[in-house]
Amino acid sequence: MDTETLRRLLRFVNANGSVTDTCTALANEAKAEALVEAKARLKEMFVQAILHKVLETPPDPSGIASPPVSPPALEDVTQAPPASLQEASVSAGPTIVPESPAAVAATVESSGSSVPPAETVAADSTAADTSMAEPLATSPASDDTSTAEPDPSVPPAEASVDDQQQLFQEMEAIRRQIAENEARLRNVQAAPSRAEETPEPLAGAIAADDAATAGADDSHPTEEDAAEVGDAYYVYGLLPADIALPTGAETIAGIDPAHAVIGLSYRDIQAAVSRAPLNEFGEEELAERFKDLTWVEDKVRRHQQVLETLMRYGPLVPLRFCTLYRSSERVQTLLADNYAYWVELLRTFRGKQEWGVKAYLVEETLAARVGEVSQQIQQLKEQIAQRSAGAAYFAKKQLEEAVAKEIERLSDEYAQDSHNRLTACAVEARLNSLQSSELSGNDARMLLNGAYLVDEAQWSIYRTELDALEAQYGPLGLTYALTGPWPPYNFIPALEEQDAHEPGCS
Amino acid sequence: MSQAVHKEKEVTLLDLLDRILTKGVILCGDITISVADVDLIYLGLKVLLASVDTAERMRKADTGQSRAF
Repeated sequence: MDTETLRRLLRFVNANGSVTDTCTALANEAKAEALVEAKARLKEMFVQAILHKVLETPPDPSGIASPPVSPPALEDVTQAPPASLQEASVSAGPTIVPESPAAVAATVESSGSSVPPAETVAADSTAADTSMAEPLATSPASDDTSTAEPDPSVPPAEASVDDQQQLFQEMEAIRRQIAENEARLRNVQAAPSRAEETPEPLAGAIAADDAATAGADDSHPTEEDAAEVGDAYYVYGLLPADIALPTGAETIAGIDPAHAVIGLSYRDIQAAVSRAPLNEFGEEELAERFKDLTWVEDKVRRHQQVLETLMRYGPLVPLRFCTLYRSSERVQTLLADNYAYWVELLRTFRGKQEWGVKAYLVEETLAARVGEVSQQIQQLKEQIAQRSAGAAYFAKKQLEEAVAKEIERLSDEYAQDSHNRLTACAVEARLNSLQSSELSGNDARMLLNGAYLVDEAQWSIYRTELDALEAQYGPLGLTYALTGPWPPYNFIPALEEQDAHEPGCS
Repeated sequence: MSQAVHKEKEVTLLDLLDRILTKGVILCGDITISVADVDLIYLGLKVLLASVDTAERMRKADTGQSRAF
């Protein structure tokens, strides 16, 4: 039990008082989970805090009349700055505070401690509570009634020496228990109540070139991030936390080749990020860079290369090009917010890849074959053959129009059939808008621009179907182009309450 | 099994841009691409392709292989 723990405890309490509204607004499923963990930890902190006082402040013979001495840490801590919104959001529903002292009392009681020590605990916690935050002050009263068996008027001074020794033994036992719990808690990655300590839970796979700064993270989180004005975190995508990103010689080069891709974990998920210099990726700097298509192409390809590499390790949720955060804390917030949504997405994408299929039409080929394919055209041709020269002229005009119409109709039909049959072999499918010849650089007219989420188990079926389409429609002027596997760019369901939907975030 | 449809060897920049600029999870990061930025990039691509196209036509015209456009 150290002053640092006490300080954190107090910060929780302070934060709770000042940002209750925000907490309420932020309460959602993911946070409810976090809350449970936070509560558990808070309870332990209370026990620790009280044990600390009991052990460090021997029972005063003069009784409870003399005010308990606050350890220096307490005064120090009451002036601690209010906790940030972020830590408050994970630490604190208003419900935590009323519950905790009771829980503490219960813990102490259940350990079988004798009466007068329990009294001491209550008295001390009252002292600590009042010095910390108001909501706590009321609870110890109820503790008195819960420990009713002893006469509350009995001062702790009357505790026998035996009782005290027994108490100390029990305290020691509890202390060990707490130490074990703490060790276990440390193993729980990114315990929400430790958001204030930030980078520690984030330290996932740290590439060699980031190791030094990451080490600094542990000691001075906020200062470190503030000091790192030169860099932002470029986020490529999210993936399960149990995937170890390559380190050492195998590292994946990031958007800025000088920085490797590392993982920042939060519970079961991690964000693949790399540092990106703000003098290149700052807001204004980026706007300038976007005018340089050479730069854009280089970075777009790097972005894609990173995602392609990450895809080999498992499911991946791709983020849009140039999504940057100013600190690792902000990245963690991204993971914590909508945590359930990310987990569900990763579950959906496991074992599936996106494939792109574009179909183009060479009109001349279809025009040449349209007479064979279309009965209507056949009939028209026969009519022309039977007519006189004069009538044939008008019939030819009519034929040309009919051919153009038939090409339209048939190409639509072929495209639709292609899409339907590919969709049948896929988990999901999306039709994207057709690329203009002007942008695609392809003279042939695009008929289909589809994206298909294909299960690995169905891949050969899908591939066979695509070949069958080519065999059937190829001679009629259609060509198919396959791209992929892509990360599931096209299959991201809309996320409600997402920041991106806020006005001003384009 | 011979595969009639071949995977595109080189993914076109346009395909990449179509996915990377407009698809995927679009978050409100501390720094992100704006709609105007996206337009700017597409415009840049258009200009680039147009200039490539022009250069190509001039080259063909020079070598007498120009087809009618």
